[in-house]
Amino acid sequence: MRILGFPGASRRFFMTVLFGAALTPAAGFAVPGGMVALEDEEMAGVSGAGLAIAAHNFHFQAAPTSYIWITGRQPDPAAIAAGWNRGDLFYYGTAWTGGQTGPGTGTTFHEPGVAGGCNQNEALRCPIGVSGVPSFASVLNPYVFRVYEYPGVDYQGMYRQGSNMPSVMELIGPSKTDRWRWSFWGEIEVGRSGTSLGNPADNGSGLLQSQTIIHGSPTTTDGRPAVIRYLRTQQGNGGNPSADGSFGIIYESALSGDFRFSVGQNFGSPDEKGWVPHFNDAEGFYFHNVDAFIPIGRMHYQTLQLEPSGTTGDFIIRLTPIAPTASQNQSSLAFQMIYNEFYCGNIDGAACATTTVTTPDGNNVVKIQNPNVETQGYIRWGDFSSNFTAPDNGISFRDRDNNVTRHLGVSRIEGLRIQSLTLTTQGAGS
Amino acid sequence: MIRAVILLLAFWVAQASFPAYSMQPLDDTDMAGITGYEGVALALELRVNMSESGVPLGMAGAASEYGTSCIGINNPCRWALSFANRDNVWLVFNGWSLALRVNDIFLDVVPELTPLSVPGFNLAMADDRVPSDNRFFNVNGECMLANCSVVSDIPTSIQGMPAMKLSTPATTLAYDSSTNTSSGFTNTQVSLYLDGVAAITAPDGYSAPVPGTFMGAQIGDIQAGNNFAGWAFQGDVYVFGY
Repeated sequence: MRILGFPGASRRFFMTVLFGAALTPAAGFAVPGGMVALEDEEMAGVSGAGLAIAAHNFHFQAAPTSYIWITGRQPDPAAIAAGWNRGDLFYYGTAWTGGQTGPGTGTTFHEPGVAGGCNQNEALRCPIGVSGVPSFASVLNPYVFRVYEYPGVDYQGMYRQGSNMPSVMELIGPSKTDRWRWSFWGEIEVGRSGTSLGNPADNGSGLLQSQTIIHGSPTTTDGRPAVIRYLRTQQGNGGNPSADGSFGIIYESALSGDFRFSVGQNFGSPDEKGWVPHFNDAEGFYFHNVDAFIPIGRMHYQTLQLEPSGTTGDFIIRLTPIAPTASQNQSSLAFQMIYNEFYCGNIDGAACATTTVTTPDGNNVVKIQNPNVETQGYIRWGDFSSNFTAPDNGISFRDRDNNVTRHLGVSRIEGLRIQSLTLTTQGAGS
Repeated sequence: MIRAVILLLAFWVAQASFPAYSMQPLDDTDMAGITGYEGVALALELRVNMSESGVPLGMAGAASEYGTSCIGINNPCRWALSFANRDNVWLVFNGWSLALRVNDIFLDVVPELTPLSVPGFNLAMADDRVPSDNRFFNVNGECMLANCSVVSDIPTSIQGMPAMKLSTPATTLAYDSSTNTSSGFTNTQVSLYLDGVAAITAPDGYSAPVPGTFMGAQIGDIQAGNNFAGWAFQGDVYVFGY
């Protein structure tokens, strides 16, 4: 039996697409109309370097009544005595749709698929786009999944290059996309007493319903994509670098766009557990012109790893400290190789070049002349190149009639470098 | 304790005829007429520790004949991860059940990724970053696509490439506010139940007693009697190698 009912060429195409296999020559044939057989020369350019995944006019929408429920737990007696209640989170109707604006482009959780019910001239006022995202990931700029080798400084402080580069498995996002609209409505429920959603007696006493909308792109404003890498860590000794190698993750988060969080509902909205609310289309907490890049981990000396915490079942998500091994003190070359790569990109251990700047209050400050921008994150809420006081630039609140009631202005975090990070769960023992 | 039912149905326009009784092997001539003229449709149902109606085994409403229960702290419905050189450390996903129905995915082939064959094609979306950052260039600064040496060659190069295309049938999405029910979200249906995740340090941590778990989750629908969340996928996905 042949895949797709095709001889030779298509089967190899499938193998090439799915497994990056090399092509061997054989005859194909053409079928008029419908599915078309591939000629061998059409496949000749495939080298098996990577697998590309593109999506056009893409549109994902969960039913407005379908949920992802992060289930809570009854607190232990001591926590109850201290006034703690069980908490549950529900995310309903998650939608990844087109970010277009104008007549016929947007709708609400109440009328999925049919335009209307909100002001369609502004993206954040309609949680759902009626159309797909034209270039969610263009065929010219697709997601790329591949195994690749990069040069870089490793855990031992050695610069690895040429035939000695470590391998990583990576998924690289597009560097340009059309804007999408990502939204869901949610519930925070406090004091739930049972697991049956069909039994009102199980419902908690406190309920907050909200709506979250992001109109944006998984890239930075200057076109950096989001990237996730999986690799074998190299934490062993100098003689055997992979002695204790384990599973590590590196994630470079990139996101830009506008954000709205709202809770206001229209008159006549059901306002009842599990019933799709009729949210007001203007009220809410707005963030405009957000631009964020957060590198978590660095090839090849810092990764995210999982560890157990005690014997309760809790666990630790740890971004390993840079230069963690016992022999790497500040005077060692290994330490300098890693630190100077992390801070200014020097791959030979040389100290980072500095420059002296005079601050507005007259102090002279020494700073790194050319910081390594690949390890330096930032989060910007607002466009710093334009009018800071414009009500739609940065962080603001709007009322039900779309008036900006508070404008908090613009804000930013720059030079965000994470040397180590530890996140420990604490709730498993209860 | 895994019970999975996998149904993989492939439809194509075939000239072969099948006997109405019992299952018979196909010979070469039966398959000779298959051309894949109309493409391929895939449907898949996967169930692990869950009844056909999307209820975890052992929970009220699930069929009882499986004789096991996924409810309670030390139930057998679990899977666990252990990483290299982290011996005796297991990340246990405790009390999990899953049912997944993928109702239709259409598979087809696009011989060339041109503006005519790819709706939404937009030259302005090309990856135009410098070779050291570009996904189509290797670490030596060489383009990995055919007939490509500089960044501006990428759009032309891609247009000569074939791809596999995945799409789904169109559906009409609706919500009825008088009954709080949704309709048309039928491309994929999912029911998930997870008691929680625990890290356990023991040689047999995957089956050892669970002292407690962190962060459970469920996926479903609020409609009474419907345990499946409905998801609608629309648009075209292209998969190609380079």
